[in-house]
Amino acid sequence: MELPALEYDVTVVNCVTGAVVTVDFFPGLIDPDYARSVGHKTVFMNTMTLFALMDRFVLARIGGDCFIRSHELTMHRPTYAGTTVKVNGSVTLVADEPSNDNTFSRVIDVVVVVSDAKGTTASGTVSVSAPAAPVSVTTCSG
Amino acid sequence: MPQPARPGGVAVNEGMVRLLCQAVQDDNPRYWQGGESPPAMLFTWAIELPWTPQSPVRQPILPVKLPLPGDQVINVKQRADFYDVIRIGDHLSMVETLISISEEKTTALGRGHFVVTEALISRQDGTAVGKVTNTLFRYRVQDA
Repeated sequence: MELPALEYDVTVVNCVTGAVVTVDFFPGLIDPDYARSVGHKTVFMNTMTLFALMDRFVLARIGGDCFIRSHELTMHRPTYAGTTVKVNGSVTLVADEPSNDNTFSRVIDVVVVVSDAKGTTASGTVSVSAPAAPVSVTTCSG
Repeated sequence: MPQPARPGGVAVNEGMVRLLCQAVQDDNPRYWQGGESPPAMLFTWAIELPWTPQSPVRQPILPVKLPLPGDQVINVKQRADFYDVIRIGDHLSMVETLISISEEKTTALGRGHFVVTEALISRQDGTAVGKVTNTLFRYRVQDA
């Protein structure tokens, strides 16, 4: 099941804010001159900020109160400042699993792809659990 | 072999949570009003600051400390498993373990090694809140 896509403007400010506030001071993430000196176009989104964007995308569509069990991400190439990325996702698993308290929780896996005008920059999977009550996939702007 | 536990440089706090949420425009009330940290910040709370009065020399993370020739690093792949919610006020620490180092490889970025590490992250009461498995590429630019 495809989820509604999200567009996100990757700005220098957002890249730098994301890097600094996640205590990731690699200079290629915060200094455009340094990034260019080591072969990059400019600064780019760090891993934790990309995860935050992916998680936002999934929870806004599956249910904001879900618990994120795991997330994984593969970098295909840098997600550079100055681009607009599209976040796409599709539900690949819905399954009820027994919980420790003898109830069931619903496990939902979403494959997420982040792409710019040239193609995929990052992709991964976010796995969440929700109460066993039916979960409805909603359309939203989040 | 697991490294000694290292406490994070900052406690989980509302200011940093809000700054990251505004950067990715995440309006989830759990982060703005509910006292939770986005899971994406798990590693943030477990890493040391580059400078503190008690530790004025930066203590690098495990993949950077390894005796390899590469002077540049870029993350290739990361997975995080979460065991509990991270809340404002939590103090996290991590134990890093080296999982593997690849043979020297040539990529578009340069020549280097893929390094896989695992970090088990716990709060102050010893409860594990998550585990981060990271693959990064440590390489030399001049060889590109």
